[in-house]
Amino acid sequence: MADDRAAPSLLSVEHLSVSYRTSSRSGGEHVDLVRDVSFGVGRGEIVCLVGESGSGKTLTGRAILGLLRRNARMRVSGSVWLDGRDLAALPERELRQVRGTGVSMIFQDPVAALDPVIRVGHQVAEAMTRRDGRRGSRRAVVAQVADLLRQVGITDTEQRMQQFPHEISGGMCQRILIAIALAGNPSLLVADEPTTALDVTIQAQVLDLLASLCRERGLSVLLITHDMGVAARMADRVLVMYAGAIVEQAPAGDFFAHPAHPYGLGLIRAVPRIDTGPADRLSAIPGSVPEARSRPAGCPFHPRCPLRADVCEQEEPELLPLGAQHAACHRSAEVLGAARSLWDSEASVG
Amino acid sequence: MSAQAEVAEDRRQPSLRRWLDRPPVRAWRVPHGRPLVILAALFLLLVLGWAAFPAVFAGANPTAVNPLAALQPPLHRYLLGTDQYGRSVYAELVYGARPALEVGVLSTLLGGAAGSVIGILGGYLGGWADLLVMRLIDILLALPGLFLALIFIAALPPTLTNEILAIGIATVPGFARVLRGQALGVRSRLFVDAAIVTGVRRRAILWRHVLPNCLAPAIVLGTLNIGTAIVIAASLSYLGLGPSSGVLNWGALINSGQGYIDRDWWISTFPGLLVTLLVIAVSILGDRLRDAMEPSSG
Repeated sequence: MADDRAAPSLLSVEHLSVSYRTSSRSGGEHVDLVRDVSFGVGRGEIVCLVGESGSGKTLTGRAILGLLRRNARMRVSGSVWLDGRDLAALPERELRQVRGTGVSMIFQDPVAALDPVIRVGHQVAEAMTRRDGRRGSRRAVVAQVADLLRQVGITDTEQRMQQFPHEISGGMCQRILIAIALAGNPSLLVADEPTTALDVTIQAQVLDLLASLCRERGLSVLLITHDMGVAARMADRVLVMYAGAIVEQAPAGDFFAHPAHPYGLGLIRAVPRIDTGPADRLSAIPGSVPEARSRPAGCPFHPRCPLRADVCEQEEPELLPLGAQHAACHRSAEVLGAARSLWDSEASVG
Repeated sequence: MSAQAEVAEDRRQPSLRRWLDRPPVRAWRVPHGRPLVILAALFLLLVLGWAAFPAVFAGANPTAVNPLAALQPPLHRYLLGTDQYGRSVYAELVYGARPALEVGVLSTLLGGAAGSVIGILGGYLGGWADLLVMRLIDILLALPGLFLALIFIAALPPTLTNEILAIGIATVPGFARVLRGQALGVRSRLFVDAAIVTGVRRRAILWRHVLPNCLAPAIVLGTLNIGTAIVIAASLSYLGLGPSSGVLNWGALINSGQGYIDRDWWISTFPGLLVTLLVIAVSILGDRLRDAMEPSSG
């Protein structure tokens, strides 16, 4: 993995910001939803973007695909470099050519992401033949679609192609969507909570599928999730988002062993573990993500932070390197130290 | 194991066979326990029969004048009596079915198609053109359909084609308004985003995703509109603005019987009743169709 990260990034998001102007009736003010987000995704790498609901994960994902530009109230700034091209600066026509072939996306609700009145086979074929109309004969297209469906683990392809989205299960719909997303052979897949709407066993299957596609095709994945279990299972690298900004960035191994931001620590500690005693209570992070319009001064996390100091209430911390990790916290060194010693003590006991 | 064999056999069957054996579409199933719907369907079938084979139902010559048999009351020698020229009212109703349905269906198809295109384009593309067109549509919506049709028919020579055209134009605003709303809703659905992120063209999204998902309400609205169009056509004829010659016409019949209504009531009453029943039947079927096609709105 180390040499992968040394290679130039496939995707490089720089200073991405999304702001929204509220209607003139409710003030007409600009609300920052995503604030100066920068990160990269290497070739073949799975990067997990984690955070609670409302932290700006989905907006970041949609901004990469240029899906936000359709709204006049939404302002998107910054650049999204994919293979040396800035998607944020591309005109719609050229962006359309990158979508599907360079970068594609799958969504949280797979059933809603398929057109209910079109047979799924046609929807896959549409994504496959979109570039220059119908390429090759009908039979050739059908064969290609069947082949692609088999690659995403669908067995009775002939029957599946004839079905409508409401006739198949959510997990199957997500597989179809993955097939649609891969039809143009993209190098990056943005997966927005792809398993949240699925039950746990199907979840595991879909995640395994994504992981194997990553290995076999060299596909890079930006996996947006709020599920730390999913992140721990999938990620090469973890990005933690809070209140519209990235507060921690670290290789997955380091992050889960010793997070450098109290929010990351809180997220990990909020996940039930099978190997701790029953005496341990699950620790939840008190409070909730502040609304974008009423974000506190200083560090946006300080009202919920057990380690807050005076400086936290006045100055917003920058994302600074700390070993292999990056954290935006005034006391990240202490957090890291504490997390490390916690890790060491657990390791020595275990 | 037998189930597996069955599935395998099922797949070996030719596709036509499978198509015939597929589960019935809900809208086509005979609606159990809804006598009103069955009644409406039968009535509509009868009128369709009149339109298709008028000679079978009412003889070959509905316009033959017979002064000796003038103004006969119903159920004497004639089922629904005769008018002031001795023509059978029943025969006139039967022969009036075809032009009435023609006007109803064709004007709905014409105006419905035009209105749907305007509405879907406006809703999907948005922008200033949409705003402009929709304000115009709002102005037209403020006028009753009959009045709109009247404006256009007054400017055109009174032929059947022009009547269809005029009523069709009167149909446009309603369709445009409903379909615009529908397109707006479909545009923001996730599958449109999913198509965008795989690089599907705007035009292809419009044709392959937005349009088909707007069709159900258009079909329901169209069905309901046929009744309205028939009423407008009858009203125009009643006002003397219908197609002037050659075709028998329910509205004109109501008009011509008006002078006799105090004594020989049947001349105006039966065509009026027929139009009323037809509109009710079409509405009932339209509602049933909506229940079947848009289960969520029911």
